[in-house]
Amino acid sequence: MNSRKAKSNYSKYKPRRRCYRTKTKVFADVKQRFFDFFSYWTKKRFRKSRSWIDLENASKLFPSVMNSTDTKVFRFTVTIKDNIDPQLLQMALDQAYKHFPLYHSVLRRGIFWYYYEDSDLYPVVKEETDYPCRSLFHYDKKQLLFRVLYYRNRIHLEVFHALSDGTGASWFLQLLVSNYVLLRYPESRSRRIELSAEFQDMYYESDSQLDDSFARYFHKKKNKKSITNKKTVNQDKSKKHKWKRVHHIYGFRTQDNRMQIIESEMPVKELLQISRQRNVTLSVFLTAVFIESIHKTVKKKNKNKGKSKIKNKKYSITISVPINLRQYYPSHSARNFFATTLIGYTFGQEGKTDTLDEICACVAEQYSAATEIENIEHKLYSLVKLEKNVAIRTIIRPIKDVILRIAYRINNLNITAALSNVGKISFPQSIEEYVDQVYVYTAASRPQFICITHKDILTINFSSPYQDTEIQMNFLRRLTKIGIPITIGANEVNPPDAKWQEIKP
Amino acid sequence: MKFCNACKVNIKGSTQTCPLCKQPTVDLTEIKSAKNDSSFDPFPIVPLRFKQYTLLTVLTVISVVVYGIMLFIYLKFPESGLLPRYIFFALLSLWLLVLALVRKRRNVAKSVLYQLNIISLLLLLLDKLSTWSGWSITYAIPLLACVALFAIMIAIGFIQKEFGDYVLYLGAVAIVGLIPLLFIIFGWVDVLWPSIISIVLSSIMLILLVIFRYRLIVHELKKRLHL
Repeated sequence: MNSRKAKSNYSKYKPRRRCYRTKTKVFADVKQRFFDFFSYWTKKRFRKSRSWIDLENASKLFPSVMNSTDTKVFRFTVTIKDNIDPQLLQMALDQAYKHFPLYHSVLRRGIFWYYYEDSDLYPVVKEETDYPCRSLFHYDKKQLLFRVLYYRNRIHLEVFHALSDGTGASWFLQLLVSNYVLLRYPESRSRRIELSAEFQDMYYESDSQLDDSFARYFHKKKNKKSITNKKTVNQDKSKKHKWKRVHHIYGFRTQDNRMQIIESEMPVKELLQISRQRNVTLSVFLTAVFIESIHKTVKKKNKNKGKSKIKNKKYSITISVPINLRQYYPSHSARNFFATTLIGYTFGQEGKTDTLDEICACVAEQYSAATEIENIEHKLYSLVKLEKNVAIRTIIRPIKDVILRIAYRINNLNITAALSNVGKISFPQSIEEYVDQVYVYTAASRPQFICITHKDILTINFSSPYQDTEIQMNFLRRLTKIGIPITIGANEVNPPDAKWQEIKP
Repeated sequence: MKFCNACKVNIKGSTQTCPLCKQPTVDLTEIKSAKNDSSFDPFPIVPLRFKQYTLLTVLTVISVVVYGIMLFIYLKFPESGLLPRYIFFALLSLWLLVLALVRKRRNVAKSVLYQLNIISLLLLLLDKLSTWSGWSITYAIPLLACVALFAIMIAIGFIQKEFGDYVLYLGAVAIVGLIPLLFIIFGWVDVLWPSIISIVLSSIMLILLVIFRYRLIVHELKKRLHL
């Protein structure tokens, strides 16, 4: 009896208590969830106001004119001795990422201009499964403006051109690869690493890295920082070439609009020797060969079409060449700091036979004129002046985008192709042993090549949105004819169909 | 490693044709086997993408077919009255709403703002198309503004990210909610309570924003409006 009574007491008492408890719990839970839900009003971490910086002169163009083919993304590739270890590469990337505050930024749209905004994102290395130089900027996505990929023994660094130019990106690459080699090959740590001048501590200061060198050197009025304080003489007029019917390259596009990449490597010493024999620099020689190979393609096409009339007419081939401004104006900015110039040659002029020597001489003359500091400065002052123009600044961004796109198209009417010489890249001595080759190439709207030298090997990397490879063939055949051994590699632009692949794994 | 006899170049990988001249390649006996990478393809083979019918094509086909049929019916039976107008209106709203939704799908707050504006204008148009009775500005638009205000607050709550990214859109929705004030001032509406609710809620929101998030708003405005 007693026990039963106790039991009944217990059973009477317990449910009530439980009921009471759950009610408060539910209420507290709901309350908590409600406050959590609207915590963006109360909590401090949601109130973060992120720092931002303006884009500099050169990069203002890139987000406006990019499209799915010409994504304005360029890629550095480094081949290492062995296959890449993704975990170590991730560690190396994390280390390098810390030192480059610029690379933390994401690109966003404002009412009048684009701007970089600081972010908390972290880059993740991925295996390369897609075609090269895919887009890195989406107007409504917060994403980093670079990516690191790996494939077998290759490390790829892809960078959106609005963030950085080749020189700036090569610093990040050097740090990334050095970190990786140090992690992957412990024996490389035994020796003291002799940092090259590029790796002095100055470069790691965020201020100098984020410096807008265009604004610093080319402010509205000529300031004291200007190298040439002379009055601008109209020396441009005499040097400005009047191009005759600039040739444009067209062709069948590749499938999915993927870039056709052909990388080639050759010993630089022999090439230098040959160019010295002709009394020109390597850049001049390569430009001349490029112009000649485009000319050959045009001639062949005309022949096939039977257009003998055009043969006699004059026409020009022009090459757009970027000039690194850091060599004239001391700057440690990792952002864009370059200007472009147009080098060309007019075929069919009277009294000329259009041989390589003649092209070389013509190109060399234009190079020396283009790299004169007065000419560069004059051009950049006008560009910066244009950017600071009140009428242009107050146009809202969507309209500005359209205007820039049209201006870019009009400017492109003067350009046949493009090339860029990044120069020499080197790593600290103990790391150099493990690095084989370095390649650079870019997404392009017309055939283009970039060359870079590393450890006595010059790599010339072509990229083109077209299936046709005749220009590249003419170029490389010309070099092999002179007696330069060349090794090439290419990506597959006409792969088996995706459907077919799935059926037949 | 392969070799092309025509171009006289070594070719990395196992390709059967020369990438330059498309002629068959020959095997190169690898004398220097020091480089282990030369026998592999330097790039992964990426399969082609499936060709998909995009939303745009589907929408276009639907609109053209529907409008064609309706036009045909109207021409056959002209007594059906206002029909083509309404069909045009329906297609217009379909296009506007879907495009805005798709384009702004990554930013919910922006999406709410766009939807609010588009739907308001569409309702105004519909009211105008049918005989004007003012129901759009009396009831629809003010109540829609209130709904949008709650929707955007809840949306931001779900996202749980930085408030700075959304605060301006919240402010913009609140400002749109103040527009019914004009309706009252100009005497366009007879029934006042929907407009008053909208105005009160919106001004409360604006006051809250200005009092508690003044700095954040100024920072965001400076960032987005810099010249």
